Amino acid sequence: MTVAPTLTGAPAPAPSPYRWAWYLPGVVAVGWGVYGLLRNVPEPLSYAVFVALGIVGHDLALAPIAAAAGWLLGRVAPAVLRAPLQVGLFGTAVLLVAATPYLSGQGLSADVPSALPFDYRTRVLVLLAILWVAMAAWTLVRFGRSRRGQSAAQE
Amino acid sequence: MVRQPAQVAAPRRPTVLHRALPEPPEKLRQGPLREQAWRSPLRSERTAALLGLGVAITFGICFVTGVFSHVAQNPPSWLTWPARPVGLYRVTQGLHVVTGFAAIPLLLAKLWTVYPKLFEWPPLRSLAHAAGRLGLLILVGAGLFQLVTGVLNVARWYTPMPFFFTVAHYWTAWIIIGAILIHVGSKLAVIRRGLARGQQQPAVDPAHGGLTRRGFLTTVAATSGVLALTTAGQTVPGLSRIAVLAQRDPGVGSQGLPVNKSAVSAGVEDSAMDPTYRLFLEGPRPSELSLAQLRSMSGTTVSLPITCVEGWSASATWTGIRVSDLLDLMGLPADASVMVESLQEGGLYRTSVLAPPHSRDPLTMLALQVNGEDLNLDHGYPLRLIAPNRPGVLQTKWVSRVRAL
Repeated sequence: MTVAPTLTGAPAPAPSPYRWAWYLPGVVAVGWGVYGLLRNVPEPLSYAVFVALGIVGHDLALAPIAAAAGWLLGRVAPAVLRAPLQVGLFGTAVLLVAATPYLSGQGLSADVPSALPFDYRTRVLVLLAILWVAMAAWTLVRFGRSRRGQSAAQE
Repeated sequence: MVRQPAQVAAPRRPTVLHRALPEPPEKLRQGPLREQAWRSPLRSERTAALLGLGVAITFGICFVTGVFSHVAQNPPSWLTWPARPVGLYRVTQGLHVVTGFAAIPLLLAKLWTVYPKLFEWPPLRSLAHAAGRLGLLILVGAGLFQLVTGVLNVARWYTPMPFFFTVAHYWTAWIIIGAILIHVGSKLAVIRRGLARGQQQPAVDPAHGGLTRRGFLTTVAATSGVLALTTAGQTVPGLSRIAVLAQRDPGVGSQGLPVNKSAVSAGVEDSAMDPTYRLFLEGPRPSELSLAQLRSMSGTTVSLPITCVEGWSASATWTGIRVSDLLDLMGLPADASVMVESLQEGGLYRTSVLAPPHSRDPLTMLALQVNGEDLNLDHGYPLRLIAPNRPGVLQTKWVSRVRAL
């Protein structure tokens, strides 16, 4: 069987006959992009290394951490905490990934003080604080609901 | 003649591309490669399809606005770049950066959802399968490249990028958009099945306490929205109070306006302050104008935004001389194009081409003043170009020469 099953293990459906309408412009666009890169980027090796680092950074660092966190959550966290922790951790991770270049301060220039004028550290912390306070509140609501559910079951 | 009963077609031998490759030994199938290793009910065809749709839409918007920006800076000879709406570039480039940030949680969540496929078994079923996996490598690599380089650029952190950002980012855009098209084509039937309602999904046990699939998708969408809102403050006035990922506050900067290239780094401090400064007009009727003459000709005031390619923008009022009047002075016809040159001696953006309709637009100016004050050095003293619907890098500062083309 040379067609892989889909994500959930279900057998793959027959490929659509319309796929060529997507393949054709897709291949042309990719070809145009590769042509443009080869003609205009004089550092192809540096470019390739950068792309490779991105893939490795995700597939061998970010993604395994996310998978491990999810697994740990399932084993260690009580049910009432699981969803709020999932949301809180996802939001925190994404915000930190997006904000790291700002937090590093690497973009500041003495001669252009209007560039990157915000206090990024404080603003990120405030945003995270809002997120986790919301998650704590949500946990309390879930806790209250499960308590009511338990006492209703006991009646 | 007796008709033969219809023959059952003999099974065809698969083509070379689809012939099964030998499988690796089963005992290598450990850890994440095991069949039941990945069990989160959040990973389903439906969530993968919906997140994929989100990625395709955000990358599609970025592609269109990005190509628009590229063409604005490098218009082909057969294309007339419009001068209206005045703020068009401000909108498209602002949208480009905001949408790019919004794409981050969508791409990361999509990659999380399909991560188990990295460990599919057998890893290479056939040559066609191997080609498909190579294509996916390009898809993931190019997608991550666009978002990573985009954020690094907006955060002004150039050292990790050992190539010229604008060029690499533009050409990779064609690769990622093509890879997305190919990917969608190969998954059409699975996407249709995933988006159809009421089909088999792994069950979500409510007692488990984790997010439901709807909760997962809502979380991702909300994160996207928050990132978008906290970036938009760099171009949408009023949102800068809640900006977290914005490169600029539109109201912060000398003379009330952010600066990109400083006079110091352009090396023009001496030449701009030189008392013998002249504006050279080179055309059928060449002339030189001193600062005093320029000041006496100045008087028109317009309100125009300055929009940087990093997606931030700010409005200001500019007072100076209509370029159209200068072109008349030079004896140029209505359809003439000119090259505007800066005192800045090096760098890619020391000159810009001003072509119709911008060259004759009543709003296109060589400004001497911004927001009621003489331009300071960082804003282009003594003279800078300002025109509608034009990227910031083409609004030449420290103008020294206007040359007919």
